Amino acid sequence: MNHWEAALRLTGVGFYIGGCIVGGVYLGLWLDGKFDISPLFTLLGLGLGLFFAFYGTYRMLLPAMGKGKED
Amino acid sequence: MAGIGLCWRRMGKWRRIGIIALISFGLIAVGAVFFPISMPRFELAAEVLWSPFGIPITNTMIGAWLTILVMGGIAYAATRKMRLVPHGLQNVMEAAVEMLMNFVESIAGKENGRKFFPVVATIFIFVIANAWLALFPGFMSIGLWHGNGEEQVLVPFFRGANTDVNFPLALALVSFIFVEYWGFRSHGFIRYMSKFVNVRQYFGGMGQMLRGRVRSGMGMLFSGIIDIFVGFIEMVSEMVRIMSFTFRLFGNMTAGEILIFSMMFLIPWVAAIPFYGLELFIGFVQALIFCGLTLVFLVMAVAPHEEH
Repeated sequence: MNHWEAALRLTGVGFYIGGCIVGGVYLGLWLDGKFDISPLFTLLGLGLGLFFAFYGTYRMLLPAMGKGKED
Repeated sequence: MAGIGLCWRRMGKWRRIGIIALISFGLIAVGAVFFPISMPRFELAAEVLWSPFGIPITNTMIGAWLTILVMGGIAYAATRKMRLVPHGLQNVMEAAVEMLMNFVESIAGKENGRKFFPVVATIFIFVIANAWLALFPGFMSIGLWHGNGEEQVLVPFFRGANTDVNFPLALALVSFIFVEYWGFRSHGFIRYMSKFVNVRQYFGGMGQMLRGRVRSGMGMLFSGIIDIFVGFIEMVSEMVRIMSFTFRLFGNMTAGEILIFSMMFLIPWVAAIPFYGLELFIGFVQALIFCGLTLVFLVMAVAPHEEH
């Protein structure tokens, strides 16, 4: 993987983190509205969104970090 | 009068520039006091100009069509009298295409690079042409006045297509479809889908449990559940790509347009010039990021699964 590829891959990380958290919270809010048990699903959605955001980021960063070690 | 002319000729360069600047700012200040104009309103959504047969034609659509026409015209002019040793426009176009080709091949390799080049280069050229064409005089400035009295707004005929959220979205969908198409083509349907829905370990674990091997079955079940989670993350990140493609291009281009627009009305003639330079650079960078990301995702989609 060259530098271009590593750099370009990381341009999407911010959007990914934001997308996961916002998506999780919206899903939670929608479910809370549906079943009327606020704020259980909102908090669950937030937690799940955070988990996906950070685990996904970690997986995205792995190739770049591996390259860093080789150099 | 002759005395003033003589005086002017004897003056130093900096003093002359200072006097010109002073007079210009004085005129602007006087103009602002005696002929006040309201600050322009920037419409985020593209404005509909006409709706023939119920199909709305927006000014960004006209901008995109103009880009197609201009690019088609340049391509025709560059290839009209082709020579083995290129010169003039043909030379410029060949150099540009070669630079793009080197960029694509440096990331995707020789074989894949040739395959991906048409898609990636088309995206680059279309995005950069849209961005740069929108800086020409006439864009955002020639149009029709709508509304009445104080509430009049100018609806321009031409507007950069990148500033309409539908256009980056369409390009993002094109990029997404090509990535998935090549992924499916190079791995086959089941193998490529296993990246998103990976239940092999899970069912293997279930089988082990049924056969009475509880310990190894539990281990496989656990890693199977992790695989399912990872597949879900892959799916989410694939979907987020469309969003990030769309809003990155739309946001950057719209912000640039608004910046130039407001600078033009704050201090006319002078203040907008540096920002035009900045917009030239941003147009290039955004086109490079859009095509580069498409390329990287294409490479990731055709790469063997073990690699990532």
